[in-house]
Order: sequence, then structure tokens, then C-alpha cells
Amino acid sequence: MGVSLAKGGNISLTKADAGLKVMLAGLGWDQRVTDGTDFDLDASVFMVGENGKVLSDAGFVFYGQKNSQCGSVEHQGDNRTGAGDGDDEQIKIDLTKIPADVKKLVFAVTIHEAEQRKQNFGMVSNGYIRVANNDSQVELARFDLSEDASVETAMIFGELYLHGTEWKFKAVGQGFAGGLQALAAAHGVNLS
Amino acid sequence: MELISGQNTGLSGSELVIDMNYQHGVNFAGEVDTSAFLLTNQDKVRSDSDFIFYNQPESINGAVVYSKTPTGGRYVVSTAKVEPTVDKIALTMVVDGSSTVGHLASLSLKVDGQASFNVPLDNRSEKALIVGLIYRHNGAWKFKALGMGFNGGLAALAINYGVDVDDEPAPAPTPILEASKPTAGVSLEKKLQEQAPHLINLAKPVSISLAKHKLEHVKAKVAFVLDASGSMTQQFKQGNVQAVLERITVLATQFDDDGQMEVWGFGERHKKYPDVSLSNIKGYISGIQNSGKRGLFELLPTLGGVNNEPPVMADVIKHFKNSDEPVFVVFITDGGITKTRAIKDAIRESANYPIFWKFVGLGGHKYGILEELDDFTDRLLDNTDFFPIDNFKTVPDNVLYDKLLTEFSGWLAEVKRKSIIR
Repeated sequence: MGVSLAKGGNISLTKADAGLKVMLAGLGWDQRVTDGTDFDLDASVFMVGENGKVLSDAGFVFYGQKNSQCGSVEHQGDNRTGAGDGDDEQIKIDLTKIPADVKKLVFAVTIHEAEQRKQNFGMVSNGYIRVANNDSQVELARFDLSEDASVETAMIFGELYLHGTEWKFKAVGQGFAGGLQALAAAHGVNLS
Repeated sequence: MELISGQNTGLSGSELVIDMNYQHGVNFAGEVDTSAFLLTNQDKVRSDSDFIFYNQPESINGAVVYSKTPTGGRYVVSTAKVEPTVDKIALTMVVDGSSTVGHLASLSLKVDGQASFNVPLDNRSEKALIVGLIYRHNGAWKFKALGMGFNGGLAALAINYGVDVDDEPAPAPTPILEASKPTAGVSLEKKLQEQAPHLINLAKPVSISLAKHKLEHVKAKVAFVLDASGSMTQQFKQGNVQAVLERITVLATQFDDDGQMEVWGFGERHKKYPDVSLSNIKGYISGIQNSGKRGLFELLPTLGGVNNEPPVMADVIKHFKNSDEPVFVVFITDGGITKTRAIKDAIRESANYPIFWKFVGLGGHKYGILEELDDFTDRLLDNTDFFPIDNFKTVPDNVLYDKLLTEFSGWLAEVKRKSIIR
């Protein structure tokens, strides 16, 4: 298991794992055992430039748009219930293919229709997001959603960025009101 | 600190006093039971002793002590005493009755002046809720407000946590849609396999005994009357009562189309309980024992500690006198029988109806009139038989079934001859 990230802390992925080429962001949670609407957590990525906004709408990778134009980011698909072991959703990032004008990648987790369903991360059992080396499957960092996020329904989990020649990952752990739509708008995505 | 669903907070102190309080709404129908589950990191109890409620108010070493309060329940958790294998303690409530938690006016949990939680109750359909959790995190204890649960009530909650309780009333029998389909096609073995696999070994001795007594194709209602006076304590405790009930239920499954058996318990007073069938047989006896508060000498709630047979016999007779099917009543007693005249009167009256009494003496003595039934000829016909079991554990099932069925087919022929039944 990788380091459990504290809010605001950062980790040099390159130092932690010199062989890292393709990074995996994994999101997991337990299927709901009580009665009521299932928990549907979604992972997404914003590829932003210097100004913190996406360079184009193609820089927003989520369940509705699974691949970035450059081919560096691949969303592996939407799990709507949390059924099954291991990660329920995964996003793969090929560090070698990230375009130079992309300054950072922002990783977010949201609960689908959280407001209507009256849900938050604290109700979800064993929710987490983690970063691993996709080739070796060695975990580099992880964040426990239900313990640290609790009443939040959307959260910026972390940021991946290049510092000199070093890939770094910063744990942001910041809650965000308004769900995926508000998150997308804040990162300059035009949702029609 | 007031929490909302999903929120958690750290706790301090080695003794946590936690109060769960509720208020009925105007249309609330039923009763509220509060309880706690001690859980491993797999969210399961280690054994049934991890289910803490009014009849089992303390966990093994007193780590959790429960007491009922006028408006709910109080749990005192001594955190240092909680065994390392216990990862969390779920604080729960169940509505027993037709209402849901949505019919409550309020439901709240307060942790020791450190945290409180008012459960949102609008538009709720659950009959059981996990109101909150006390749990370990990084070497300390935390509280999480939850308020999530199960429409299926206690059974669903208990199954979720891996507890063996089944005190839910039997579900209403489902209407038979395929009326033309012969039920004989469904073998007893298959029914047991599907509904009560732990009783599968009884299929063979039942079938053999029924064949021996030429009762394979007889349709009959079966009823179970149970002495719950104080002297029966050991028979209840050792599981003999549950084991006998299981054996009779399997017999009833074969005799009775819907497989439902009616159950009465008696002490000084008597009560009719939910019908038993294969689907709710597991834990049935402990379920009815725990269906309410029991006095010091009571085995079943509110029935009292001494044996009084005539009133329950009168109730059984009243219930079955107009039955159009023969009725096989298994009457469990441990003796100490003194009301000879009234019992004789009941037997004499019931001889005019399609009711056969099989008295079973369980580990007792002083069976009185029951031992002299063969000499009791002052009645329309012989509608009774008695046999004692000194040590239930030593009686093989085939012998038990043979003794149960003895004289029943003879009586059946006689009631038909006398046109008590067609």
C-alpha cells in the first residue's frame, strides 16, 4: 500500500518509482448493502493549461468522454454500483503522451445525482482513490474518501504536474459544491 | 456537535454513554426495539453473543452494556474493554409492527455530550436503521452518523450483520397460482433442500414412518401446543423444544398443503404465536422467547411460570372444532399435571370434533391423567395418545416419528366411520 496522503502534501512520483511510465488512478467503493438508491461514484480528469482551464472541451475526460484527444488519458469505464472487488473505476495516464501545453491534470471524484439521492462520501463504505504504477501495479498514494471527505459530494482529489523533469502528485482533498457540472464549469468546460 | 448523515467526528474518554431516543408519530403502529451489534472489520458479528439487546444486555466482557429507557435505549461502551477483534459497534433500531421509521416523530442519537444526530425521517420506507457507528480509526474511537437501513426490518438487519435470528412472523402464505399442479410432485426432500437445508436428514425418517402407518396421502392440519412453565427451562435451554418443533414442522410440511403449523404456548396463561413453517423455523423458539420482556420465571413473555392446561386446550378446540380436515395436535408437556377433571372434560368435548391429541412428555414426570388415557373410556372415541421422552437427545428420529404417528390412523378411520369428518 502506498502512502496515505494528507491534505496539501505532495509526492514525487518519479522519485517514488523511477520506472513509472503509465500512471493508474483507481477509484473504489463498496456496493450499498442497505435499502435505497445505489451509490454511483464517478472519476474524472481535467487537463488544464497555465490558467487552470482546459485547453479545449476535449481535455475533460469522464464517463461521457473516455479518451483525451492526445491519447494520454483513458477512462476505463463507468461502474454504477460499486459491485466487485478492487478498483471500481480506473483512469490510465500515459505520462509520455501528455502534450507540453498541458500544465497539470486535475483528478476529481463526484457522486452521481448526490443531491437528489441525498448522498455523500460519508455514507459510502470503503471509498478511496489511489494512484499506482499501471505496469507494476505498485500503489504510490491513496486517499480515504469516507473518512476524510465525509459530507462532501464532489472532491478534487489531487493534481498531477511536471516539476522540472519530475512528475509530482499533490493531494488536494478539497470538497466542491455543486457536483460534476460545477466542477467542469470551474475548469472552463462548456457543458451544453 | 450536531452531525448529519454520513458525517463523523473523533471521540474522547474511556466510557461513552450513548442514548438513542425516539418519539412515536400520531399514526405510528408498532413498537420500537433498540439494539447494538459488535462487528469485526468484515462488518459481521463473531457470534450471536455480539447482538446486544434487552434479552442479552451485556457483551461478553461488559464492554457494551445496554439498558432500556422510557424513550429508547442507552448503551454504555467501555472502550478499553472492547476486544481487539471488534472494529465497530453499530447502534440500531427496529420497528416491530406495520409502521416504518417514516412514521416516527423523531429519532436521535447522543454520544456523551460530544456528538448528536437527528435522523431525517421524511419519506422513509425502512423498518430497521443503522442509526450510527462507533468505530476504531488510527488507534482512536470515532462516531459516524448514518441513519441508513432496511425495508425488511430486523431480519434484513440481522442477516446483514450475520446474526442467526428469525423472529419475524411468518409471511402470509402466497396464493397458489398454479392450482392445477399436483403438490405431490414436489417431494419433501426438495422442499427441505430449498427452505430448510439444515433439516434435510429428517426427510427419510418422516417418509418411512408415514408409509408404515399408511398416512402418506393423508391431508391434515397440524398444531403445536407448548408447555412454557418454569420447569421446562432446561428443555428450552438445551434446544430440545426447538428440535421437537423442527421435527413436527417437517411432519406438518408433509401433512399440510400450505405447510403452515399453528403454535400455542402456555404457562398460567396462553397465547397463539405466528404460524411456523420451513421458511421461518430457524430460531423460531428463541424468536418467540425474545418477542417481549420476560418475567423471572417465564420462558415465554407474559405467560407466567406455572402450567395451566385447560384454557389452552379450550382455545385449541374452539379454533379447530369446525375444521373440515383432521387436526393432529402435538401437545408438549413436562408433567406436573393436576387439573385432571378439566383436562378430561376438554378431551371428552373434543372427541366430538376432528381433533386428535398427541401428548408428548418431555424430560418430566407426574404426567397424571396422561398416563391413564387408555383407561379413560367415558368419551365418544379414543382421540388421544401419550408417550414420554426421558432424554430427547437419545431418541432416534425414526423412533420419534413412529411414536408420534401411533394411533393416529386408527382414530382417523374411526372419525370417518362416525361421520365426524368426511
